Amino acid sequence: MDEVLLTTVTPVYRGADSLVELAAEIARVRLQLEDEDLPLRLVEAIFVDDGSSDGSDRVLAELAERYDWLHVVTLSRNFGQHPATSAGILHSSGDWVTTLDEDLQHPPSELLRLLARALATNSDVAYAQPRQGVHGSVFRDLSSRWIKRIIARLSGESHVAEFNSFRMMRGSVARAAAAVSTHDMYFDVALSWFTNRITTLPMDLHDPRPTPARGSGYDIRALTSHARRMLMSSDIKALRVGATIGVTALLTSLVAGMIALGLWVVRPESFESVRGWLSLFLSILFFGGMTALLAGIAVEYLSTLLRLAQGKPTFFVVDRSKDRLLDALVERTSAP
Amino acid sequence: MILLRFPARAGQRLVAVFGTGLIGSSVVAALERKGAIREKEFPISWHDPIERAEHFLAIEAEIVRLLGEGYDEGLQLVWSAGRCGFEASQAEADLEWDGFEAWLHSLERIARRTPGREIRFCLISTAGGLFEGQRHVDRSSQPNPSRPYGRLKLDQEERILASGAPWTPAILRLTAVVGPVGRGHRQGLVSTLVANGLRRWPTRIVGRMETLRDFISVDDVAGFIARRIHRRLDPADPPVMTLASFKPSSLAEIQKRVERVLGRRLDVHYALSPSNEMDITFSPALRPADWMPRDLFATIRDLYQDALTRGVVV
Repeated sequence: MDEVLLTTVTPVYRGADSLVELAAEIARVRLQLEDEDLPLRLVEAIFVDDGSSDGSDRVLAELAERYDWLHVVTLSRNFGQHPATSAGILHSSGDWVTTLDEDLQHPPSELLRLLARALATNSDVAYAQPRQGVHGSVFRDLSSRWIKRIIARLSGESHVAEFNSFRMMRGSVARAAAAVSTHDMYFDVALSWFTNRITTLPMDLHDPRPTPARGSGYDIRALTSHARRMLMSSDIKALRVGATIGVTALLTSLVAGMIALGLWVVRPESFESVRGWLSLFLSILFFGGMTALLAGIAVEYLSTLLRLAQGKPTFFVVDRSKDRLLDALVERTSAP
Repeated sequence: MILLRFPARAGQRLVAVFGTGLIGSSVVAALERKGAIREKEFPISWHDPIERAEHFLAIEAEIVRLLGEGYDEGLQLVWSAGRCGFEASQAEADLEWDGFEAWLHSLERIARRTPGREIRFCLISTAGGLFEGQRHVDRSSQPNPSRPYGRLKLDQEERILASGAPWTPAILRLTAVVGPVGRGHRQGLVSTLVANGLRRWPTRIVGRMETLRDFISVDDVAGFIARRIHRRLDPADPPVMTLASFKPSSLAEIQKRVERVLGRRLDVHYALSPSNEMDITFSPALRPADWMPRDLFATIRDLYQDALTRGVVV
């Protein structure tokens, strides 16, 4: 029988305290799917041990013994959340792949709603969209939201504001994005190279652990690094502003130069007060504009080469024919 | 067939490797690295019964003679011979079955002639051929071959397991094996992409960009078999094992990884064919205890270095 397979991927860094509960919740979803009359199976849960140092590896080993559908991928050191997510996705085989944080922020019970949302909107990616702050820190929630908005504006990637680590992705698209992701790349930007069918599902997300237990290390430095990676992975449209300013300065200097020349011929007396100032100003404007324009062209070339090296695809094909198998799920979820 | 012997200090035993294609020759090389000495090479005939009988008698005489000289840790038979590939026709598969059956009768005779010796029979089978179109194959999955090649391998497995010969069977189901470029063996997708990439030739891939496959390195397979041969029989070993990377790779991912290693874009044409577009993936729950496959990226890099060093595609 044709069926749709679902994989969950969870990068783990400091999750020893929450892993048992998370695995139990995934197990509940798995059992729920077995009981339902849907051609949908949660076939594997991949946990990526990202160089954890809090004993998560031992907990994961025990969980892998307990659940034969739970698989552990162990990275040789701590590479960070996005590389760990890519590693997990590259080990997946599901038609749909969902990523969950280790810290119980993302309830596995919402997986089906997220999947139904993606199917109902004929999308390849569905992000959870928190209705309110999830971190219990106004600074962290606000800064995260604003940085995403600024980067969306600078990069021209309108979906940046929707990025969230609780996502449901079409397996083929997710694996293609993971395959081209490099160490310094923002996974979701790579994802947007392969699809623009992206949707969101508003939901209540919160970190259920008491504040002292969080200790996620999410400070200004981490936030800056996060933003830098997101910006560097994107097509930096902001750089084109520099080239535009260069062209404007260049043209202004030429036009102003011609006007000045005309004035010098018609009314030479008006140039006698401060000699040399105008020609100096126009020269700086001309050569400054020329430099900015050439730098902009060079950056554009570099950007093209970078995208080529990173593996931005010319095209990618996708098969969505299996989506109709889950029409019942979509109808049920959208029913009042 | 290549007959090897381990000298006394390495545990006296004989190893007969049938088939010296990609896997067989790699197993022989891995055994030699472990101290095995190449004793003799024999031709093996597939289709001519008279020639086959002559070849068999020569092999039997040599094995019985050497076992008589005190190879008290017994004999290991590795069957990696075969001419059929994934695309073989039913007629080709039938022909290969006849040859296999005839050789198996002969090998059963050797096993019965050498009582008291530990004999192991290792059959190289195909995971992709048996489970084509199945995803996330696990312990509960049943082989359901859809091609003559897969049915041939399933018949061979059943024949070995049902054999009354006094040997311990070990069946290794391999996923797509990646071997070196241009050594005269049948080349798989990865080797072809590397070779064509180096030559700047176009490559036609039958399948879709998102089709999932599982690739393993022939060196990993050979190392695994050599380790098993070299160590004592473990009663806990299951008779059937699946050697896979347990990391599915889409064809687009393979293309991308080869491009990254070669540092150039490949000229690839995807040809659509429904029979080749089905995913084949395996659950890590099937992973044998001491099977540690290398990362595919490292395998591709080694392949590339090896091709450059030997200058095979210049």
